[in-house]
Amino acid sequence: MASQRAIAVHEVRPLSEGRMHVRFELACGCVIERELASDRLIPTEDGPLLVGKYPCPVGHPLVRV
Amino acid sequence: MTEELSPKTERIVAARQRLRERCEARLQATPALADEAPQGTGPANRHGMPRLPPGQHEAKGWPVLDLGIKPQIALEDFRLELAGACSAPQTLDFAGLSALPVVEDQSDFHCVTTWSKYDLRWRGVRFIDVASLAQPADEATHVFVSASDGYTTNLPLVEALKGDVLLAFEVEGEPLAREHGGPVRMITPQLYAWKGAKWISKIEFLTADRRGFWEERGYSNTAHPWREDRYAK
Repeated sequence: MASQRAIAVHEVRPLSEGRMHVRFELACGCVIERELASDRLIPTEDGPLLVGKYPCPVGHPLVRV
Repeated sequence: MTEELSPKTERIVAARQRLRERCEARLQATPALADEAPQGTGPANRHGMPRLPPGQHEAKGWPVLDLGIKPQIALEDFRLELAGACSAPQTLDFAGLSALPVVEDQSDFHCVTTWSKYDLRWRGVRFIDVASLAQPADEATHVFVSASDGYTTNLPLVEALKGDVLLAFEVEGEPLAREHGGPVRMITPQLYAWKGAKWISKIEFLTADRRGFWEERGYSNTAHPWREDRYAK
């Protein structure tokens, strides 16, 4: 199953210290939710960047962005 | 007065010299050292490339990325197997690894997931010194690196022999934390960071390339940050 980069962060909800619940869009267009370490969200001039590679739930091939 | 070297050290020094002579020209021709028009922004880094590779963002924190498993390896249980196309295959424990010349180096870290971290202060041993122990065959062209979490990655031998490629066991003056690959991880400052395995457990010298975990899943086999070489062609 291909792992995709995140291209947009739709919602972030802090959990316990150092953790967050995130709803985000993968490069293939799928929107998924994950509980992740807070440091995966990096502020940039273009807005928050969610780093990491995440398996597409329906198995879309790797999208190169 | 010249200090006498032990026969073992003499063999390592001679093997390192042979490796350097064999690979130096190709090493100097690699993209991170030889690109005449590299992409990226900022002043030149110490090897002449723009400090921030294209598409990267500077991160103040240090995100933790892995396959979802963070092996707990006590220092006394650490083992590093050196295998494949080499004349002295062997397994090192931490004492054996850290008996090699220990170096400190400050380098940048570029993750394919578009964040970079500047000026990390590492302490460890150079890959070339570890390779010199194993004495790669003249036919060896690539290395295949395995980790205790099941992760694998591959890179050309000439990239691995660069002086800033370390098997690191300290960062920022502290033992390398488990989440960052401790007790020992490899770093490859001139390639995207996935080429440096956390929780390193095996280095295999190859006479032909073999793709690792991400390389088999659509990511670049070559991974040059200043060419934004993230994905397989």
